[in-house]
Amino acid sequence: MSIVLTGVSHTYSPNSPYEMKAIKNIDLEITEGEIIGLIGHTGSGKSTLIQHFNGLLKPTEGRVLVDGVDIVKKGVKLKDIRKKVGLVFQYPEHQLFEETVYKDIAFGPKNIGLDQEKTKSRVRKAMKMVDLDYAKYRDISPFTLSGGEKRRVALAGVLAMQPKYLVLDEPTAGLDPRGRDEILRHVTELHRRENMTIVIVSHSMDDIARLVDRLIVINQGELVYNDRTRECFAQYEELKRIGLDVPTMTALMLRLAEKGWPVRTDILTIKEAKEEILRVVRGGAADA
Amino acid sequence: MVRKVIEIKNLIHRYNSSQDGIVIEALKGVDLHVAKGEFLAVIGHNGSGKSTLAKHLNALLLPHEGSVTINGLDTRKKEDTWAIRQQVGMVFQNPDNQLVAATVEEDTAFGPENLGIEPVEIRRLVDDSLERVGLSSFHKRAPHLLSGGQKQRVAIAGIIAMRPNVLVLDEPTAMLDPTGRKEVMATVSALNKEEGLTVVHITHFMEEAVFADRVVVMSEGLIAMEGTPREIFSRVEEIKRLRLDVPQIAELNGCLAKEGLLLPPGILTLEEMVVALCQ
Amino acid sequence: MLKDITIGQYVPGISFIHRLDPRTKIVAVFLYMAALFASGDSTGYLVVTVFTISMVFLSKVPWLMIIKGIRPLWIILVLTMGLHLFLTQGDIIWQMGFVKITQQGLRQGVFMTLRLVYLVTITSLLTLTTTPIALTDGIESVLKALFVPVAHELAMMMTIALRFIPTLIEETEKIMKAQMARGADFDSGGIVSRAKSLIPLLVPLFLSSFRRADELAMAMEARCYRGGENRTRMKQLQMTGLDYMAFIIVFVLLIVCIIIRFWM
Repeated sequence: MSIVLTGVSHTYSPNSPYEMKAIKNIDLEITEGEIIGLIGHTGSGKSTLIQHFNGLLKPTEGRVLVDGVDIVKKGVKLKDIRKKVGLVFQYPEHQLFEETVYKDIAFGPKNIGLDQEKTKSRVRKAMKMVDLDYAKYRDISPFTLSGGEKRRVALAGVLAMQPKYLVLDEPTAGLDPRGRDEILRHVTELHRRENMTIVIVSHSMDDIARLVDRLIVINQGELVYNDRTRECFAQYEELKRIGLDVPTMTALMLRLAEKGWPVRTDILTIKEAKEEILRVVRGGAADA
Repeated sequence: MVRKVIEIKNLIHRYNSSQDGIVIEALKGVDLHVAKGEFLAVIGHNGSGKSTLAKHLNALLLPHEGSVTINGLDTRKKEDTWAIRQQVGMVFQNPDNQLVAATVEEDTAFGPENLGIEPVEIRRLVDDSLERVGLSSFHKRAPHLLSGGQKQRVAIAGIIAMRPNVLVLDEPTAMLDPTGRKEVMATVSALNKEEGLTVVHITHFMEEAVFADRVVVMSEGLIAMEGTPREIFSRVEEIKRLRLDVPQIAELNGCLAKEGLLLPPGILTLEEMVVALCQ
Repeated sequence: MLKDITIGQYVPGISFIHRLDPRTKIVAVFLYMAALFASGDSTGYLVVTVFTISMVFLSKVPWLMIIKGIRPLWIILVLTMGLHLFLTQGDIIWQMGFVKITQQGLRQGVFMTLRLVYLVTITSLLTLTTTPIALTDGIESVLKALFVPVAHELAMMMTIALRFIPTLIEETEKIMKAQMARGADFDSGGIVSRAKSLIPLLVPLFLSSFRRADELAMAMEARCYRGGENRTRMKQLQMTGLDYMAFIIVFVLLIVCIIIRFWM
């Protein structure tokens, strides 16, 4: 099962002075079980693209199939699509509105018509996934929580829909280092333990490098790369041209290679970099 | 002797918690001096008291105990409040919530207008400030049509148009993308290096603290560490205990050291790492 | 996208009317209104009509924009016309059963309707040829001249509203989508369920507006804002020869209308 986009374009305010083609002719497949990164600078069309995954936007050209169902076909209920594809917007804590954490997380399950028992078990489960103690947090107002906790409540609100696919738009924006690590840890766990398919939009190449298997790069509304993370970052010159960075460790290896070091340049993480540097240094020592 | 622009002595600040009337001490006795022309970075996790500290620097908050002195002016003296606010400009986190007017130049003029400066002089200050943050060509633009980085630069222009001695930035880059972050940091660092403006930069991006003259680490309402970026970020374990990160390169250096490859401590940037390895 | 919508319906231009000081335009609108209400016969209305049409021509604002401004008022216009037409006593010119039209009724109906149409035309012309910022400045300075005590505060409120409307529209759109992603439905069901479905939109919107207001107030204070006292403005409104000419023209219109009304 998968989300498949074929020839998807989206034009805002067509036939008006404000007409703007935000994404152009995108072909893309997101297969169940993957963890994918989506990068591109601000205004490249990322937000527009992800809103097609759950039918918040409809393609002005092309088709979007979610598990084989065309999202614009007559008789297709968008609610059913949104049950399958959870979308967590930037600063999701800004959408909290209920008096208690429980009620806020229950909003989604109630909207899809679940009874009290089922709703309760979903809320419990969702809270567990983001490490919020059910008994402790259930009855308190989400507005008294810290920034990081609020964000986890908002994330739980989407998880309670039990989506198969989870799309996160810059989930760590505005958090401190601890908050960032926590959110990213939850995302990794959702992928590993719950077997959720994840699409994560991020500006941090260092985070992307250690999280995702596959990378989608878009620029000015067009799909530039759609490949394994390592292969994508190997295109550092092209990435630089469109204003994107590579992970710090990749950049370091590239500089060392430039200086004549025999290092591999497809390094992504600190651990890999450490091993590669030690290999070259120790290997060099052995030669001498 | 270096002239001190900011002198903080045993600063204590308390908040009344909304629930149960519990009093929370956000600052528990902070001592800090900032020299003229210095670039100081303040880091610390959320709730460590760094934002509260920032608001004391221009009398938006007043000490419950201890004192804050700006160029000899005590913030507790009511009659000096406006003089202090003219001297210490503040840029806040959310770029959308600090621009007042519907065009860039009107917004930049807001501060000088409040100071009662002559119209001709305001015009000169506004043009000059927008030039210095590189936004001259945007002067008629509406703020909501600018990028995040541009909005923060407008906010900075609005501050420097008031001719302050100190620029306090309270997480100005937290809501920006990498491009916006670079724009803002380049602007701030140019103002500091080229014009000698004293900068207090509060952030939780460790990469931004690397370029400061001095780093102060806040934790639980106190200053937990203080030193040059090199000194601070070579103490990887300690920094991590304070719920913070070190820059990737510093972390790599720590990992290599553990494996017995000892490079000079305090390597912070990619270039330094390359130089150290290639020796 | 929603945020591209411009507020106020300013049509950029460099016409005579565009270049007038906002204060001139505001005062001129009031003088024009006086002239309009002074007119009571066909000669008077002819003068006002010629004046109004020439102003629209001078401003080079497309007629379509003016008509767009009048269109929403059609019910009121029809009502005004109808009431005068059928209910005024006088010399009957047409009758069917108890429904009758009098000569006086026809006259009154046409005049009243024209009065409304011209009123809307001239006020739209003011907003169509003046940027919202200039309009705010103009209102502030006119109010000050009239010794209205809260002139500065009113103007500051208008300025901030202008600045934040696009931001709030954008935010509304975002929250709406976020709730829709959680299965919220904003456009089906009866009135009650629809009103209820707005809670998840309105609560976050109010909360964020309060947060914005709070932060903005602090940022303004940090920039030495302390109300209107001692405050100067970068842009000084400047009267030019053009403005004096405009005043003379509108004054002449008013005097002509008064003369026609009372002495002819």
